[in-house]
Amino acid sequence: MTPGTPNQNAEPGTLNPERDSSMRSTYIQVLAIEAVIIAALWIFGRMFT
Amino acid sequence: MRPLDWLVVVAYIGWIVIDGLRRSKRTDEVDGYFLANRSLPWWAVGLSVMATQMSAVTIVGTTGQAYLTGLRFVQFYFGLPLAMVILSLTVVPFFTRARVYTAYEYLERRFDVRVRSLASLVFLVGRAASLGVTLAAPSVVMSAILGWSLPVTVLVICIPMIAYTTIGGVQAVAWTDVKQMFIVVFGMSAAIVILLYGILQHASFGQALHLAGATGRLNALDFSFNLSEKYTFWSGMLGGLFLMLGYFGCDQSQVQRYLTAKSIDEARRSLMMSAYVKIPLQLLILSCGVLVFVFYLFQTPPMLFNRAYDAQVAASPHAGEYAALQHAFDVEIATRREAATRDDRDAFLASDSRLKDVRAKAAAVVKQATGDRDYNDVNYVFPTFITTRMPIGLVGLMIAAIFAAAMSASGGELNSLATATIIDFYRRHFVKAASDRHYVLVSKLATVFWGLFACVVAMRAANQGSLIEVVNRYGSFVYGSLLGVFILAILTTRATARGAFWGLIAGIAAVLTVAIQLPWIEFLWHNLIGAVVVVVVGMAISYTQPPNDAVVVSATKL
Repeated sequence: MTPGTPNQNAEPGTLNPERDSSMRSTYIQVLAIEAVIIAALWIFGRMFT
Repeated sequence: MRPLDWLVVVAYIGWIVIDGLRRSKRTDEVDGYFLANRSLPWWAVGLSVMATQMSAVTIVGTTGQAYLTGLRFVQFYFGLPLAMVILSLTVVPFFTRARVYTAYEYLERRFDVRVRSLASLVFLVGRAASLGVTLAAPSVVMSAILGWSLPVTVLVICIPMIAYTTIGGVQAVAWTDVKQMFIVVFGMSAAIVILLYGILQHASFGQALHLAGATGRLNALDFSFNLSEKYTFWSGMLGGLFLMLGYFGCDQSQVQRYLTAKSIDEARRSLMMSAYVKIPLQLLILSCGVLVFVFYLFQTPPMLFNRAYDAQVAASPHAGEYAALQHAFDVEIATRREAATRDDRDAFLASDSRLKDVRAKAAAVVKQATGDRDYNDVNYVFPTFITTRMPIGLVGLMIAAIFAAAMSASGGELNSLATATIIDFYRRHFVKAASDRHYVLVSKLATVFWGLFACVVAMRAANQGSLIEVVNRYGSFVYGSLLGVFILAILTTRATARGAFWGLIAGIAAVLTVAIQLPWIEFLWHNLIGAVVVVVVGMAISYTQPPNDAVVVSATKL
């Protein structure tokens, strides 16, 4: 089954258990936020050491 | 602990146990007992994922670690967000579509039953040992607070946890986890407020930060590439990445969490919750430890936070020496406080250094007087602050949070041990065609067995240094190697069953060899070593076999 195609066997109104959407923007956001946190920790450490 | 505090503890624990059981539906069926009928919303799964990983060890051990060394431990989690992204793209859709109960079930489809059984056995051994350590942390706390013996304390924590996990299965575990996360975040935030209030009576916020920073406690990052340095940016990003991939991708206690989600999307969102929240949450907990250090610059801390041996030392031939150290400590504490108040950095650092020496000598005296070579007090710092400095009611809440953290993390692990035991061994090898009712009954017996086993391990694990390090050391023996097997399974088509089997054995042997012969290589790197050895040895053996031995069952190509 290819990602994103509806499950023909799912009953109407029920959640498709194989619903598989692209989450690329989420992944990028997560990694970007981590980079910001690491940068902030570096600045914070330099300020108070 | 006052009566109101006890009321808070008992009420909270009673509520989470009863409510967890109340929410459990169709637990007489295998799907309901092991996978919650694949019906849990992403936010509940996400909170359960985080709660399973964050036990009382995090609250007790991490704060103590931060008190001593500051924020450096946060680097341990730097590999986690990337690990969550990788897992969302790979194993989450794999396992969800494969409709497995355990991660190792998939290995039989890809390789053979030997690989599945070996991987599941490795998980069982590693997780059972780790579970014992997870239970030891709150037991140590309660034992010190109440003056109970350690075995009694372990049983008082274990029995409710074993009860609701046995009766309610994964649903009881998951809904208990949800509540635990809220109470932990609330409790840690309340602790920070209390700490800041206490600190600001004596110094400004900026001054407090400068004092913590002067001792290096606000230096979270170490960019040196040094295999002997425990927490560095590189060990976290690389070694930690492999640890997190192995733990969240190959450890049944985590895999079973996201198998309970309603869909692939919901399972992915649950992992992304950890990716967003884990590092800030860890910083919250570490900050608590650092603030406890600053707090005690202006209040008098005990010379040693672990007071379990006070009477024994006082009655020993070393009593005079200990008393002299206590006097020196009291004098130096006043000197350091004065230096901190007048913002004299050099005098403050010199006094702080002398205090470290006094504490080290005092710990050495305790070891000599008691024969306990593993004596340390890192895990008692935060509990001491809670029970001596927090207001009535909040003490009970914090103790409840510590208990809840222990129960929810260990409940998830316990449930996964039972699942792997029944699905990968009992049903696969012994009783292959029985009713759901039969398997659920045997699962409950397995849950009780593993729970009692963990109790025994907990009674022995209590004094093994910072418990959060002990837990991760145990894990690092196996996670990297298990990850290597799943890399062979999912990312290659050429790997054969024989290659995977012997590769896994080689990986574990390599890690054990490194741990014993090269102890200067810190444990985070063991994950990378294990994974690489498994893949290299596994592929090498696979290439000695004809290509058509690398059978890839079509159902696994997704």
